[in-house]
Parts: sequence; structure tokens; C-alpha cells
Amino acid sequence: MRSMVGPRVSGKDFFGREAEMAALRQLVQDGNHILLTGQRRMGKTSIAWELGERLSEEENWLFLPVDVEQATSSEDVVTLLYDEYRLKTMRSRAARLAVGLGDVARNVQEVGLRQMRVKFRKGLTAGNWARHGNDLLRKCARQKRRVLIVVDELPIFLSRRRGKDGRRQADEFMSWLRQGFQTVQGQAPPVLIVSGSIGLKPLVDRLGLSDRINYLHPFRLGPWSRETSIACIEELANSDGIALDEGVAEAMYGRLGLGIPHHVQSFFAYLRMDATLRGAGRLTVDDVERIYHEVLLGPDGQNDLMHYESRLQDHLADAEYDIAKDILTEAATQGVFTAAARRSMEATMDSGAPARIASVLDILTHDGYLASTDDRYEFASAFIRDWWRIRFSRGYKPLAQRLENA
Amino acid sequence: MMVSVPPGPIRKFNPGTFQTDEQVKQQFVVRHAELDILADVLRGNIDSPSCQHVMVVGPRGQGKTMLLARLSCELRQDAELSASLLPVRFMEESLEIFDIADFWLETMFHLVREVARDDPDVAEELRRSREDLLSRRETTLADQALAIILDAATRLSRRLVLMIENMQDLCGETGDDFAWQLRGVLQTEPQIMLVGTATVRFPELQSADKAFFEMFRFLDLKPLDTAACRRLWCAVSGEGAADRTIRPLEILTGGSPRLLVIVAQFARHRSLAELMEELVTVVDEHTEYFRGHLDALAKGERRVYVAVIDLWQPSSTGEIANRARMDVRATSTLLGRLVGKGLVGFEGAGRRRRYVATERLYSIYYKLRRERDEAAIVLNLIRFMAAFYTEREFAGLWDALTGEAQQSPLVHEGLVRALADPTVAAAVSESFRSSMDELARTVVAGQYAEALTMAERLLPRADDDESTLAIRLSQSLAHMGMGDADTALRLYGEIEERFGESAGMGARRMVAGAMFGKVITLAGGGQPRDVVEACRRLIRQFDVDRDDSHIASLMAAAFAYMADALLRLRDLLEALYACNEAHRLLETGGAPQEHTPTAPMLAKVLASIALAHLEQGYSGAALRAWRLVVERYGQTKHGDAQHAVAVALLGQAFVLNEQEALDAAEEYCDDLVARFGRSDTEDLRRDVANALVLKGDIAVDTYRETQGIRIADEIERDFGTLTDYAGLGFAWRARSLKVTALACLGKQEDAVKTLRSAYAVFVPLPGSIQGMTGLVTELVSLGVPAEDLLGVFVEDDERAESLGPLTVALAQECGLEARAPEEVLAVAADIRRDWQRPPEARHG
Repeated sequence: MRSMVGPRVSGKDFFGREAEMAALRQLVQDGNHILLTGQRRMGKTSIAWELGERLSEEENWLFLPVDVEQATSSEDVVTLLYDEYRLKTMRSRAARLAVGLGDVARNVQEVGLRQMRVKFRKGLTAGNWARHGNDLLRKCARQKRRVLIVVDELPIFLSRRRGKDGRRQADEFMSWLRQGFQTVQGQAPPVLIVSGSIGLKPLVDRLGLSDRINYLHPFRLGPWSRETSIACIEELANSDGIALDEGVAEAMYGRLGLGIPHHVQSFFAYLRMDATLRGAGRLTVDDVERIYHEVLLGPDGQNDLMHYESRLQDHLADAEYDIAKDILTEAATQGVFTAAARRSMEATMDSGAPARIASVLDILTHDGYLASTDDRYEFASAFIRDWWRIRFSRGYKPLAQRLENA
Repeated sequence: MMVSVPPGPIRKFNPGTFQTDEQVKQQFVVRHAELDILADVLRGNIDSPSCQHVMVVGPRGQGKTMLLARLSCELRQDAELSASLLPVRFMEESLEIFDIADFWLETMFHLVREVARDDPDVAEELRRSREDLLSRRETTLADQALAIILDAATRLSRRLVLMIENMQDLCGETGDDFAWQLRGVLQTEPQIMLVGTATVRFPELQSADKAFFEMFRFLDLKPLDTAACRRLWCAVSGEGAADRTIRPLEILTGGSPRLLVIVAQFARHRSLAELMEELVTVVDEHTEYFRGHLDALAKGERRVYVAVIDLWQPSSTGEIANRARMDVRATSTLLGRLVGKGLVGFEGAGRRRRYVATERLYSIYYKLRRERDEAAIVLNLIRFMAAFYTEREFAGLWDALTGEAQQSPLVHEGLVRALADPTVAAAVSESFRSSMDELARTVVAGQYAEALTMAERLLPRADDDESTLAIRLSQSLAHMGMGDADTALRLYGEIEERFGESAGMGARRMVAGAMFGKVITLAGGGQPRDVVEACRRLIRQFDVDRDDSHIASLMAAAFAYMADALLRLRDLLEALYACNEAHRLLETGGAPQEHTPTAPMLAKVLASIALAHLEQGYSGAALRAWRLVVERYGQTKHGDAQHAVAVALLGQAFVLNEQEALDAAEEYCDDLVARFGRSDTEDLRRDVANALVLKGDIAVDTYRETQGIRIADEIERDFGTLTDYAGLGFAWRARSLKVTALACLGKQEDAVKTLRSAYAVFVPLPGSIQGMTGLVTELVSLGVPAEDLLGVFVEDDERAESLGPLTVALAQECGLEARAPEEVLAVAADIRRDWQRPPEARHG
């Protein structure tokens, strides 16, 4: 198992998601189209690709994954889908025809396909891409085997359509996607999984296109459990040949407070790099504390988490953002955002405040910032809490104190 | 057969360009752990369906290019990596890339270069395809180019490792789509992986809505630590260095490999003190380097950057705006750009954010070019660092011994005697003999021009070899006396060649004199090796004549010169052997050792050999050599030899003091004072005063503080106007001694008062700066409050400037916020670390 930061993981590197994998597999086998949701870096892309590859190997599904983030138009997306379809179908044909030629035959096919893609893309226009797209879905439906299409980073593709024309293009594309998958006829219509590193639902809501995704079955990917996180750390250390002092994995999880796979991997990668630079073959609890405070909560580590702030800024109106910032800073500095704090907040604001605060709390809970029990809200992740405290605690007055002053 | 490739000088710029893999490997002496990390990541990518990409981040000069050059070698030479991966290394500045199509075309170009030798067919096909694509203007150009590249990778059966420098520039010069398009390929094509470098984490890496967010594993190149600095230093300068010596260079260069190479290349054969003194020259010689980057900035950026380096210490936006005389908002924007370019870094957040130049030495470069006061600030710091980080325990002794060996009164001794020998003119007429005597007297009197005229006149009258030889020797001497070393050496050589085989003792003495003349001339300005060789020739040729007292004395003198030259070559054993041979020759000659003309020189050389032994860590050998000096020359009346004896006694006292044989050390001090206490020659008075200072130190160390105070008063009274060999006033040294004694007695107020009086006569010299730092360290450890000590220094700003890091350290100890340049803060931190150490572990 490799320590991976950034790209998706697969095969031996795919870890700790067997329960989710089984549930997702069942949904897909049942023909549900899926909207894969979850916080950033939970491993959505990895689980979608891994499922596709397993279905392909174990049940002979045709797996067509496309990453559409670099696509600049609907024509590009259809080209990518076509390209993948040709690659997979022709590859299997070539494999049958050229038994023994192995890689050579496959590579020749791939190169030919890329050149074909160039020609195909040249022929696509704003007027005919939908027709070609439907044509492709029909081809998929005619396959004797089942087909899984994964469209990754769809929200990024959509969010890059800007302005009035951008909304129109997004609408056209999402409408085509819904109509195409809902209406395509065949023995076993293709199944779609849509995922992305930013939330699709808030985006379509903002564009006024919420109904375009109502055919998708939401599947939420949560964090790893404590046990899984610790097992992952131990496995990484074992693969890297580095010894762990007793309690190291537990201390790492203790600091993170939540098993976001990327955070676990990233924490281990920083520790591993530090050990390599020091020429050390063993990680200690002291190392964990040092790296946590100096690196993860240091300038570079802080930058890694900046999106937790920018995402709120991007998706909330200014007034709501201010409320969110106050709630999170209260929870970060006081350890919890209590009902009393909520009342203090409401008391210092206008009459519409309770509704807005409730709405923001919903968003913060839904997006994984906070977890609630009995009207008490705490940070789900101790790491993000500590980061938020470092970033915003300077000059912050607790809500109760503000009420007294008022 | 293995062909060894000369490593060549370590590159400051463009490492790897036009260098062989072997040269790059030999020059790669730091950042091995980082190389291992990169290689491990790439190894993990070999069979993976998705690749881990890496971004190496570090400011200019941190070794990013070198690391990539070295990684390229690894990818070519490591069996496992080279079988599966192929490096495609872009030039440091990819000037022709404006969109993704340009990028893939550039990739093709470098791929051609990489495979040209091993796969000429693939290279040729790639080259032709690229030429074909270059002529096209199609929107699908990028796809076509990528298809060809992937095809080539397939044919080569290897994945491509794109190595791209300055990714922040590349992303800045291309459109937003470029990064997304590249990301798309990197995410989906496992045949391509990217190892990039950047001077900073630029926006495309940082923002969640940008293409490269969370795309890379980061490898931050931190400043080199002291151990790595030392390794690089040794590789470049070819000289070893202790951590203590390397520390100031680490601070000044900020651990930047490039700046360290620049300084180290200059540093060959210079001591730390010399190097620090000549840092101005280093900066001067690299004006173009510093200037070039300033010139490359836009006008507004340059203005703000200059304000940052002028302020030197980390400064707020407001302070920088004030210094630049610009609006705060505009300054803030320009600072943002400079941060983006990696030229300026910052610490803190929000209003507490403070900016500083990322590349050290820039402030120093700038200030050295400003008016005198500005340069003085830098020079003070450099002087302080040179003093603080240099071991100077025995420097005073060297100062006492160097620079006089060649000025020995031996210079004409042997020659005059050779000329005055009665056998020279035995067979010639009375009038000719009289003329020859006159010639000899003229030479001895230093009337060289007249002597040459006389010699010209006499030469035609000389009808035998001995007369001719005598006249030739006179001419040689006259030329030597006039400073015409070349002619003198030529004439000495001619004498040796023409008369070297002469049998007559008179002629042999003169030939020996000529050969000795050659020794002296070479010692006056030649290489020590040439001196040694000239001495050896003389000794070999006349060894058979050692029973002749005249020749024996010349041989002894030759051994003395040889010893001196061998000492300079640090061949201490041979030098000692030469001293002993000289001693033996003189002993058999019957003259009392200490009264021979060679004695002062031999005494000094022997004392110096001892010191050299000590430098190499052989204190036992040093003590033995110094004992020989005292044994052999202890009774001499010659001033120079007496000084050497005093130095030998002082040296023994120093070493024994170090070895904590305090009684014995004190005895040597007493011996020195007893022998030379009444002398009125300056050197010997200095030696006596030095002995008293050491005796006072020993008294304080052995709880005889009151005696220490008495000795301090005695030094001030008798030697208060004198300075030691390093230029330190004995008044300052006496008062320093008294400060320690008073503090040890618990009289803290008196100690601080005396410190004030010592500070009043403090002259900022390396020795006194080091002494003051040591004194403050002692006082702090004796419990004198830092506030009281700081009070002494702040009373005199001018002197305090020479002690900048020390005052900063005291201010910090008082809990005050001390704002100062990073370099000053780093030295202050080292000083405070010394305060925390037990006395035996402290510097000096």
C-alpha cells in the first residue's frame, strides 16, 4: 500500500471502504443512477473507479469512466465518452483477435483511437453533440453486457460555465444527461454515477436546475472510523518499512479527530517525509505532536485547509458567511456552539436572524463542518477545529460576552 | 576501463546543463533525503493506474534545479527506474509555452533530445512529427501532439516523467485553461507524471477552485541545516570546517546552497575571520547576480523590494510603504506580487504580517552600497559574527610569532663572511686584493650601485676562478640588495653551475654562500616548496664539508630556513627534524647555542612548530617543542630569541590551563614574569602582561578572587597603556578580569560598575567582541540581572552597534520584543543558547 496524496487510489492502495463498496455495488447492480456525495477528499473518485474496475473484472461490465474537469464544452464531454467507449470496446476486440500479441496490439489500438478522437471532435458542433451523445447511449444499451458510466468532476465542468450563456449551457447539458439516461431503451440500460470534488446539489440549486438531478440516488460517503483510520496508518507504515512506537497511530487519529482519508494519508506523508529527512526509521508520539503543530497547523498545512473557508465564502451570501464564521469560531474557541450561545447570537441580531442561523447550521452540519447532539454543535474534525481556531481566534469575543457588553 | 570524469567546479547556476551524469552525481552533496523521497514516489508510480505527481517548492537558490538534474541521472542509471521511466527535462525557463499545444510540442522537443542516443528511430520520427505539427494551425493540435507523445512512450515501453521548473511562471504565462487541460491528462494518463518546481505555492496550487489544488505531493526544500552546509562547504572549498565555523555562513546565506557555493568558492584558504572581512569582495564580485534580479522587476515592484531589503528586519506593510514613500494599498498589492514571485516571504497573519526578502545577502548587498553609516551596520554584524564564531584562544600567540622569520639578521651574515674569507684572494696581487676588499666593504655597507660599478671594473682583471667567483657573488649580493630578485637568482644559479664542482675550500665556501643567497632570495617572496628544495640542494652538496665551521653555520642557517618553509607547508615533523639538525650542527660547532646568529630564527620556528602542533590538536607535541625552546634558548640575551622563549612559556601556561593543571600553568606564568618582568622591550612587556592576565584568570577560577582583583589592578597600573598582539588594550583586559572577580565575590553592583568602566575603554576588535560576549555569558550565569547588563550597553549607542546581537540577546532575556534582521536574531539565539549551556560546553 502506497502513501498517496492527491490522485485516486486503486487496487492494493484502495483501503477501508469494503462496507460502502458493497452497498454501492448493490445499488448499481440494481440499476440506480447515483449521485456520489460527501466532503472533499473522502475518496469519492476512488470508490467509483474501484467499483467500475471490479465490476469489469468480476462481472464483465463495460466500465466507462470520464473525468470531465478539463472539458470546456458539452462537445468535449461527448468526445471523452466516445473515446472511452471506443477504447474499451475496440480493446476487447483487439484482445480477442490478437491473443499473444499482448501490449503491442493494445497500444497500437490506443494510438489509433486517439487520432480517431481528434477527427471525431472536429466533427462535433453545438448543434449536433446531443444527437451524438444519444447515439452513444443507445450503443451502450445495445451491449450484451452491462455498462457503468462514471462522470467525475461534473460540478467543476458546470461551475466553469459562467454568465447567462453559461447557465444555458449547463441547463442543456444536465437536461440531456437526465433525459438520455431516463429514456434510453435496452436490455440493461447503462448506469450512471456522478461525482465531484465540490457539491453538485448546491451548484444546481444556485443555477435553478435542482430538478435536473432528481433521478439520481444520493449515496453519501462518510469518514473512516477510528479503527479503519488506525489500520490504514499501520498498513502504510508497514508498507514503507517504518516502525511505529506504541500509540502513534492512535495519537494521529486523536489529533485528526475524524477519519477523512486524505487527512490520514497527508498526516502520514508529512511524518514519513520528516523521518526520511532526519534519517529516522521510527515514528514516535513526540513526532506526531511536533508535525501536527509545526507542519499541519503551520503555514503550509494551513494552506491545505483554506478551501474550508473559501468554500463557505463561495456558497454563502455575505451575511450568512458572517454567521457561519461566528458559529465556527465560537465552536473552535469554546469547544462547542451551545443553545445558549445560539440565543446570545440571536439576541444581538435582527428579527430574521433565527431563521438564517438555523439555515447556516444546517449547511455546516450537512457539509461536515459540525456534528450536533442535543442542540450542541461541535466540530466534526479536531484538525479543522484547531486550524479554524488558529486562523480566527485572534480578537474573537465569545458570544456570551458580546451579549453582556450589549 | 573506467574513465574518471573530473567533477569540475560546483555550479552556482544551471546545474546539470552540459554536464555528464557523473559530474552531476559528484556535485550533488546535499539533499540526498529529498532525492530518496522523489525516487520513492516515482518508483511507486511504475505500475500504478494513477500517478502521484510532485511539486518541489523552495525559494531561488535552494537547489531545485540541482535536485531535478540529479533525479534525471537516477532515472537514467537506476536499473529499476530506468527500465520503466524516462526523464523529460524541460529547460529552466520554458519561454515558448503559451498554451497546452505549445506545452506538448515542447515536451516532444525535449523527448527527442532525451531518446536521440538510445532510440534514434523514435527520436527521428518524433522530430519530423513535431516539425509537421509546428506548421499547422488546427484547434486539435494539442490532442495530436499528445497522441504522438503517448505513442512514443508506448514504443519506448516507458512512462514519461516530465520535469518542469518554475511552474508558477508557466501557469502565469498561460491561460486558465492550460492548467485544467494539463490536470486532465495528469489525472487520466498514467503514462505521464510530473515533477515540477516552484518558488512558492502559487495560486493554482492553493485555491480549491484552481486546477492544481490537491494535485501534487509537496516537497518543500528547507534551508540547509548546519551539517548540510558543512558538507556543501567542504565539497566546494575542498577544506574542512567545524560546525561553529560554518554557522555564521549558514546564517548569512540563510542556508541557501547557491549563496553558500558563491561564498565557499571565494573562501578557499581563508580563515573565517579573513572571509568575513572580505565578504564585501564576495558581494562585489557578484554584483551582476544581485543587480540582475533587481533590474528584472517592474518599477513599482523594485521600489517596494528595495524598501524591504533596506528595512532588513521583518517589516509590516505600513513600514514598507513608508520607506518606499508609497500608498499602503499599492504597496500591499506589490508585496503580494513579490510574494508570488518568491522574492519576498512573510511571517504572521493579518495586521501582524511582516515581510522579509527570501534570499539573504540581498540586504547586505544593498546596504554595503549605501552611504557609510548603512554599510557600517552590516560590517558591525559581520565583525561580530567573525569574533563570536571564531576560536581565538591561541590567536594572540600566532600574532606574536608571525611575520618576522624572514627578517632575520642572518640575511647577510653568511655572505659577508664568505666574502671576507682570507683565502679568497691568496693568489692575487696586493692591489687587486685591496680592490676586492673594497668591493666587499661596499656591498656590506649597502652601497649596491657602487659595488656593481666596481665589480664591472674588476671582473676583466680577475684571472683565476676564485676571484671571478668572488666578484660574481658580490654582483649577486648587490642585485639582491637592490631588490632585483630575478637577476640575483640568475647569478646565483650561474655561480652554482660554473663553480659548483670547485675543490678549493675558499671557492666551496663562496658557492655555499651563493646557494644560501638563493635560499634567502626565495624565502623573501618565493614558494615555500622552492625554499625547501634550495635548502636541500645546499645541504646535500656541502654535507661533506660540515666539519668546516663556516660551511656548518651556513648549513645550520639553511636548516633553519627549511624548517620555516616546512612549517608554512604544515609539514611539522620535517620542520622539527630540520630544527634539530640545525641545532646539532651549531652544537658541534662549539658556539653556545643561544648566542649564534641563527638562534633567534630557530627559537621562533620551534615555538611556531609547537603552536602548529597545538592547532592540529597535539598538545603533547606542542608542550615538548616549547620545552625545547626554553631548554635551548632560555639563557639567550638576544631580544627576538627571548621573545620566543616568553611565547614558549606562555604557550605552556595556556595549554596547561586548558588541561586544568592550574598550578603548573601558574608556575609558567610566574617563571615568565621572573625572567622578563623587568624588561623594557615592548614584545616582552606584552608577554609579561599576558602572563599576568592568565595568572589573574587562574586566581579567580581557584576562588582567589581578591588576588585576581590585585593582579587586575597591577596590570592596569603597569601595562594599562599597552595593547596586546591582537590590539586589545590591557586596560580593557584588566577591567574584564576584575568584573569577573567581583561577580564571583557576589558583588554584583561593583561588577556592573566595573563593567561600565571596561565598556568605556572597549574598542570593537574581534578579540574584545569575543571577550565581551564571553564576559556577559559569565555574568548571566553568575546571576547578574540581564536588565543591569543591558543598561550598560544602551548608554553608548555607538559602541553598542558593534555588539548588536549581544544587546538583542540581552533584550530578549529581559522579555523585551527585539525587532532586528533575521541574521541578527539567529546570532542572538546562538548567544542565548550558550547561556543555557554548562560552562564547559560553551564556546571559547
